[in-house]
Amino acid sequence: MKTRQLSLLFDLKPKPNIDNFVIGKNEELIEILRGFCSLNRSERFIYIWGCEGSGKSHLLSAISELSRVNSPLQFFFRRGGKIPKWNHDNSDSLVLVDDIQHLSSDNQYRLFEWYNELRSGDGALVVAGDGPPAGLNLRDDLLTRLGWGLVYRVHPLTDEDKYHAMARYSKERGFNLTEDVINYVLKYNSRDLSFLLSVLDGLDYYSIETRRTITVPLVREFLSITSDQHKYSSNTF
Amino acid sequence: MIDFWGKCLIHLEKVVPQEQFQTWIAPLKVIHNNTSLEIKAPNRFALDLVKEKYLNEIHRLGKEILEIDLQINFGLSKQSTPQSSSPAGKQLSKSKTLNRPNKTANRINPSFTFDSFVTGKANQLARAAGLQVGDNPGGAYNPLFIYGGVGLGKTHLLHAVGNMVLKEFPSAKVRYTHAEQYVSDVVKAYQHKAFDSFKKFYHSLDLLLIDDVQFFGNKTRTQEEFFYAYNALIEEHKQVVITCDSYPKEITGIEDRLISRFGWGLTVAIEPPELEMRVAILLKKASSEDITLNEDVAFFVANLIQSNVRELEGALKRIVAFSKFSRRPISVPVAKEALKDLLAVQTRQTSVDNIQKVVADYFKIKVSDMFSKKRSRAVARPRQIAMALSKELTTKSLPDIGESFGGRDHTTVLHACRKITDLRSHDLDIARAYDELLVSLRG
Repeated sequence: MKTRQLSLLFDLKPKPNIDNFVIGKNEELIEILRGFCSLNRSERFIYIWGCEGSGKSHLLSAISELSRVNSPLQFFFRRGGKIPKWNHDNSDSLVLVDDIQHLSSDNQYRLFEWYNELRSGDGALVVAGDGPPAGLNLRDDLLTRLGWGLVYRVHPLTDEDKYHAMARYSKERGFNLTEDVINYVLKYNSRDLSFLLSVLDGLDYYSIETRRTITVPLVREFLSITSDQHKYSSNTF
Repeated sequence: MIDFWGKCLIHLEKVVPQEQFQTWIAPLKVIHNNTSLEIKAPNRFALDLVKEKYLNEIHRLGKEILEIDLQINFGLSKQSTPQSSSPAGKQLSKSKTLNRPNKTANRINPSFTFDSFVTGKANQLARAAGLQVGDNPGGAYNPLFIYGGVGLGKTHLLHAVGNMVLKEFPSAKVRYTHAEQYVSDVVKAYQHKAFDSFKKFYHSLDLLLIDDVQFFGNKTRTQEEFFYAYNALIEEHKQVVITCDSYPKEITGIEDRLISRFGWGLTVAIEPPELEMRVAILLKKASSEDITLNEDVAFFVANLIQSNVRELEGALKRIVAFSKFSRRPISVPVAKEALKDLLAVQTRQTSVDNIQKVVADYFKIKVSDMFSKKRSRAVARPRQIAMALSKELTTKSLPDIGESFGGRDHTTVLHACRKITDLRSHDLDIARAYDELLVSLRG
């Protein structure tokens, strides 16, 4: 029962938005994205790339959220989804594509088509991938188009950034963590920040449940209970 | 008795490649009057080209055959105006009162014009040919077949021709179609048993602009339909402009009858832009967007990005964004900082290890052959190419490069570089392989 409650808790992560993205070395990118979501969008095509867990999917969701008013017509193509045939009613839409490195050849052609049409219309496109355009194994005519707009690397957070993010997060949620607890969580978990923060949520809950202060032994105990959920969760983030 | 020009033609046909002879020399109208020769070309472009490439030879023939110093005058033949020479032009009305087909129907992007197309050595032939076609659709160059790598402006040229024709002939029925869209139209016609309306539409066009025709490869039904559409259009003197990533004879999976037809008109290449052109592109782009860009920054970026125009423009956007973000004017250090991720990627891509891997993949040999003592040509030539690329793309010294290739001496590397330079000047296969590898490694 306890593990089930804990796993439910893992699902209660805050919705990704631009404000809860830990910026690290990505200040310029965040400023660009805020501009992109505003009424004075200067560049309509953005490609972001970075390693797994660097926050690309978070940013795409954040862009979608922040653009809801200015770009009400949106399409979000995630891994495994099918990009439909272009329709001229979509020429001023905002299109978000995640994990472009996994696009099938059919989807690559569709995206190529969408790109050209969005470009000749008033649409906008943000694509995320795991490498710079030139480093992806996709059709060349699509890759050069991705490189035509603004290309930004999403710099992964350093351990120091993650440390501060975790300290700030716990403080905001009303509990303090000692340095050795944060270091322990950092050392023995997936280093994906969204996962680390969800571990803190779980720890908070577990400490209330057990009426014990959050210490390294408690963290160890908590992680052993939730190890199965960890595996599950780290695959789904 | 064969007249002087007849003799010239016999001689030129022997020394000039057939395709060039047919394209540039055969259409000339020539009047010979004792000591002078009036040469009329069908258009300005052909005139300039003949003047530049063949004037000396014609002059020399005059001395040899007639034993006189011929006075050679050039001019345009009267038929070169679009209305009179172009059968399609005759049929196309210039009336502005007719409804211009809307963008959705013709799929022409109005922003891709000849004015916004930066010209350099690498694309001047294609641009000039495009202008001729736009001015005289269905005339001299039908089809116009433009080939070259991605991001070099082929699609831009297609749209530019379309825009020009629509401007001159507002009632013209024009269609831009990507080859994959055409394939999808064929599939749809097949599914809905609607080949009649499909044929009716494509066969009734005044101008068909078809992009990336290499995507027809191995699609036999599409090729068959295109064959009929192509024949119908050409027979009616309607213009066809085709783009492709390679020379017609090198396209794979396309029927011979189509390939031979692709070469009926004019085939022109768009090469990757040379340094000066890349600089010009950047300066023009900056100026069109009111951005102050010094030449030193333009040269820095142009040196960094050599493969295609799109990424060049992308880099400029990134520099402008960084300059605004950091509130610093654009300079070389600002550009360097803005593009540091790109620089890092390029450095990683152009390590000797990576060059060896990419070259081995390209020639389908083992990476270990790069270090082996094997001297068969199948292995030695790719190894020499990899050495030459390592010298060009990395900052490694010749001894370091030799060391990376199985501990070879620096003189071996030097020999390889000289050999490849020499081969590139006369062996088209080697030249193309080298250029393709260069583009691929530079990303």
